[in-house]
Order: sequence, then C-alpha cells, then structure tokens
Amino acid sequence: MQQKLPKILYFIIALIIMIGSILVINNQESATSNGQLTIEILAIDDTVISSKSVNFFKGDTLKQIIEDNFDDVLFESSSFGPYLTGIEGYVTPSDFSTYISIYIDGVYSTVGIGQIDIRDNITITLKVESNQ
Amino acid sequence: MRQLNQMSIYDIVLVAILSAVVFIQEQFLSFLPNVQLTIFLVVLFSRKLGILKTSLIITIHVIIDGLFTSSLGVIYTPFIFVGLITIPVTLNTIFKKVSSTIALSFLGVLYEIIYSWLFLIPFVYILHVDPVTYIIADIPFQLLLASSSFMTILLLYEPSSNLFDLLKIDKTV
Repeated sequence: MQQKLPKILYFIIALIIMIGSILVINNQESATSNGQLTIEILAIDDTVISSKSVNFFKGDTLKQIIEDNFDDVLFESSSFGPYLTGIEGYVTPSDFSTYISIYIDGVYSTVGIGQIDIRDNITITLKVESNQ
Repeated sequence: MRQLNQMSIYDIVLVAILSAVVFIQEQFLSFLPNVQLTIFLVVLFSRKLGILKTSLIITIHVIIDGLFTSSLGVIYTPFIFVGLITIPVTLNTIFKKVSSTIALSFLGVLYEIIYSWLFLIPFVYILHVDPVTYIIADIPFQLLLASSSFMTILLLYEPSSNLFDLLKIDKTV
C-alpha cells in the first residue's frame, strides 16, 4: 500500500495537468473589445484571392468573423480546435497535399484559428501552401 | 549489420505487428490532442526488445505516419525520428539501470520535452517563427503530452512488461 500511494498521488497530479491543458487548448479566444482587422486569402502562387477589412465586436471569435465575411467557408472540428479546410472556392484535398496556413502580420502562426488573439489592426493571412 | 542479418522470421513479424500497434493507437487517439501511447510504447519496447528492434519499429512508424498524414519531409520527419530514437538509445545506455516505474514515468516526461523542443529547430529556421512565441504557444500542448506520457507509463508499463515476460518477448535476436 505504501508503494502504491506515491503512484496514486503522481497519477492524480498528472490527471489534473492533463485536464487543465485540454481545457486551455479547447478554449477559443474571443475579442475583448471592438475593432477592425484585415483578412486576406492568398493562393498557392501568392496571388490575392480576397482581401477584406472587417469590423469585429467584443466576444466575436475568429471562426465567426471568417464565416460571416467570406464565402465557401468550411471548418472541421479537430482535437486542436476549429480547422479551416475551405474558403473562397479553395478546398483542402483529402490527401492534404495543400492546406491553409495562417500568418499574423506576416509571421507564421504557431496557434490555430481558435487560439489567435484578436486585436485591433492586425492582418491575418490565410495562405494556401503545398506539402511537397 | 550482423545483428540485422540474424533477425528471424519471428522477429520480423514481431517488429511489423508492434509497428502497426504504434501506428493504430496514434490514429485511434487522434481525436484527443497530444494524447497518445507512443512514448509509453517506445519506452516499453526499448526495455523489452532493445535498441535494434525498437529502432526498426520507430523507423517504420515514422515513415508510415509521415505518408499517412502527408507530413513526410524535412520539416517534421527528421525531428520526429530523432525525438523517438533518443528513447531506445538512452534507455539501453545511460538510463540502463533505471527500473522503477515511477522513474521511467519521469523519463517519459523528459523524452516528451526533448521531442517537443526538437521542433523548435524547424519552426525557427525553416518557418521563421519567433522562438519565444513558439515556446509559449506550445506550453499547453507540451503539458498535455507530458502528462499523458507520464500517466500511461505509470499505469501500463508494469502490466505490459509482465505480459511481454509471459509471452517470452525479449531482446534475443
């Protein structure tokens, strides 16, 4: 029993960390104030498919903003949050040979659509890129 | 090379089946972010099968996973491979004497940290991501992978190790 106690204790600590991490990962960022941002869609050859300045309001999520302002928007639910698979006529093929990557003010985003901090005057670029 | 030539049909089948187990569990658990049994399985195989067979399982897994997810390439594949191959190499050399399940669970956390931090290299040098931003954004994912690796080794290592002993699956090539 004495040997099992530390195991149970470590297990409980690890479980709490695990649940906390899942909650943080699945928590979608929403705008904390009103503002305006630019969203541009780039094709694989960097030509601009669409570019719009859009207003957002406190409580809006980026997923909502994209869905409200662009056509043919497709989101898939993934374990990492909403995953954009289609927009403005582009659809990610089933073999994922091309996909949509996200840049914030020209810098590659390390987080997905659900975790992006929505701030005033930022530019979000959704760029079709190739896996090859 | 001599060791590779000495592998029996049994060993080849064993490597193939265990590679399939690693691949299938990863796909099966893909609905949960960063929750998988891969580090636990590689720790178990490293201990029970040794460097050679575990390295073969890792190689097969990395190639098949890369093909399946279309991620096979210079950005991810070498770092996934190095991150995983560290486990059999160190568990059969510098950590050879570590035998308690709790110690192995903490090693699982260390392997997760090595695995995750290796991705800093392609993200910074190939994708030009700011390293501090990357590290901060990756913290919840690292915690999740570390806790799932820790818990799975803590819970499953001992019974799985006993099962391997019962089935007489060992390092003998």
